[in-house]
Amino acid sequence: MDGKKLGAGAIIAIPVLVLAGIFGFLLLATSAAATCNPTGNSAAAVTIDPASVPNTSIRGYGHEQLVNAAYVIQAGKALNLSVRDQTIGVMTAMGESGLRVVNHGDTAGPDSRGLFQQRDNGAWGSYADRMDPFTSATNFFKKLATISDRDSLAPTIVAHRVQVNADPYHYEKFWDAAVAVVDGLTGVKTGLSTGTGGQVCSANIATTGHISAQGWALPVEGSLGDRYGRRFHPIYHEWRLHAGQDLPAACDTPIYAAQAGTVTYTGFGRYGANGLIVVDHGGGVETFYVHEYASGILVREGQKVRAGQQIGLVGSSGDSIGCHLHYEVHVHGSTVDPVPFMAAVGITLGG
Amino acid sequence: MTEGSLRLAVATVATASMIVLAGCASQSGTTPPASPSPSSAGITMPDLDQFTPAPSGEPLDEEGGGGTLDPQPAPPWDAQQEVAAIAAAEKALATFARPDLEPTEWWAALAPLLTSTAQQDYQYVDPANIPAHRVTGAGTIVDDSSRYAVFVRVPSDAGMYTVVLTRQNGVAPWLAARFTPPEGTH
Repeated sequence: MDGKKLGAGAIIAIPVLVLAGIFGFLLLATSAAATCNPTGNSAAAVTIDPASVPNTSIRGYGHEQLVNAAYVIQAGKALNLSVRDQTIGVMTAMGESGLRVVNHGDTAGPDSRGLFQQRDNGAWGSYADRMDPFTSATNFFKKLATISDRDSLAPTIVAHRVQVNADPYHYEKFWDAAVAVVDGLTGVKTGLSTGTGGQVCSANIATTGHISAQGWALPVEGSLGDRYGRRFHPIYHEWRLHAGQDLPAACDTPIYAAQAGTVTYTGFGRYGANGLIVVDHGGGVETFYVHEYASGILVREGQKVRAGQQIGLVGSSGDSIGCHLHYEVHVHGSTVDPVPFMAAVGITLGG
Repeated sequence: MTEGSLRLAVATVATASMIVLAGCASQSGTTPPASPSPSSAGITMPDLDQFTPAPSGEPLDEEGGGGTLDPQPAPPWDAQQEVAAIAAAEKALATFARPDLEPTEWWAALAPLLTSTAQQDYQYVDPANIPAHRVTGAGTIVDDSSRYAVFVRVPSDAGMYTVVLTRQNGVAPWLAARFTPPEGTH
């Protein structure tokens, strides 16, 4: 790393202390801006005439189902929604009915009908409305359009907030097929990435980190910023432990799991307004990845990860005024200096 | 503050923190790392004794969440901990599987049993859409490879759920991160 970058790293660290308490919450509040939606809020929707759907199959969905998908796409188009919204509609119908206009419900909703399994509670129109592909999709999208922050929510969460079903993560596994169907039917490269049905960022293409001979990974390709150790707090006039190593990098730079393990925490609260991912590697060793925005948290609590698997995107949430990864290594519940720890497993932080 | 005075402040504090660092904990550069050895999980771990952990009670800056350092590592799994984790999973699912409650009453009881992310994601559930009404048997741990995350299968009248629980340390409560529904329901 060159000297200029080292300087930038040091500059970041001090204002963090000065501004932290004052601006931390503001930075969190603006983090929703980082939605990573390639199609934008009001991007022109894609279109496909249901009558022109070829007699083919995409991802196991046959002609009848693809025609229904075309009606969903057209209903979103008629409401001037984005292609991400349209794809969420197709994903939801896959997760509810397998893209078939089914004339029966399920255990939790015996009165559910149609592509979106809409219930007979007055919210979704008449029986005929719920059984009509275009009308049922239109009613789905009208409710979806009321979720004004939907571009900062994962597709499965957007679908769930419309459907208010029992499992918010249910639709995630249908996202990849929905992207394939929308791309395939419309012939448009939407820029929506597969593998992102559970992530806010719909454009992320996962990469893999550099692995050392000992099987550990570089958590981020960044420079070496503020070191682990005590820092004098300019407001509280007290020495406080900077419990990790700062690794300045451009916003949205991939963050990789340093070693295989289980994700045991994601989100906000445990470290205040700082976005946080915690991975437990067993043997008393955990690694903490700090400052992601909500859109930059790409894993879920309980998820198993491999060494070098991408788990996040560098951000600047919480007590931070510039994008960097604050990386902590915990041994038996206490922190150690990440630089010598990683050096012992063949990884040079900042290298 | 101008850029010049900021840089000066940076230099001053950086120097001070380096002095403290040198007299503090780190042994980097003085002790050659011991040769790493593979652990039982197939992960190559360095000899952990070569690193000096920060002492308990150490004040933490805001990047690490503030407060003071209070290491509470979870001990290895034993029968007592397994019983506690299973009980937490059963309680969480029993509290979740109440489709006849009003949403506000249902949520008030459930929210404290969830992780912060699960609180965010499950608050929009209409409990009327939950297929299960009760827990019908004892839970079973199916994955305890982490001391801070455990997968517990819990039977219900709608089928078998897998409850994912996490905890922040060895004394923190188990909180539910997910209720994975029985096959064919959602």
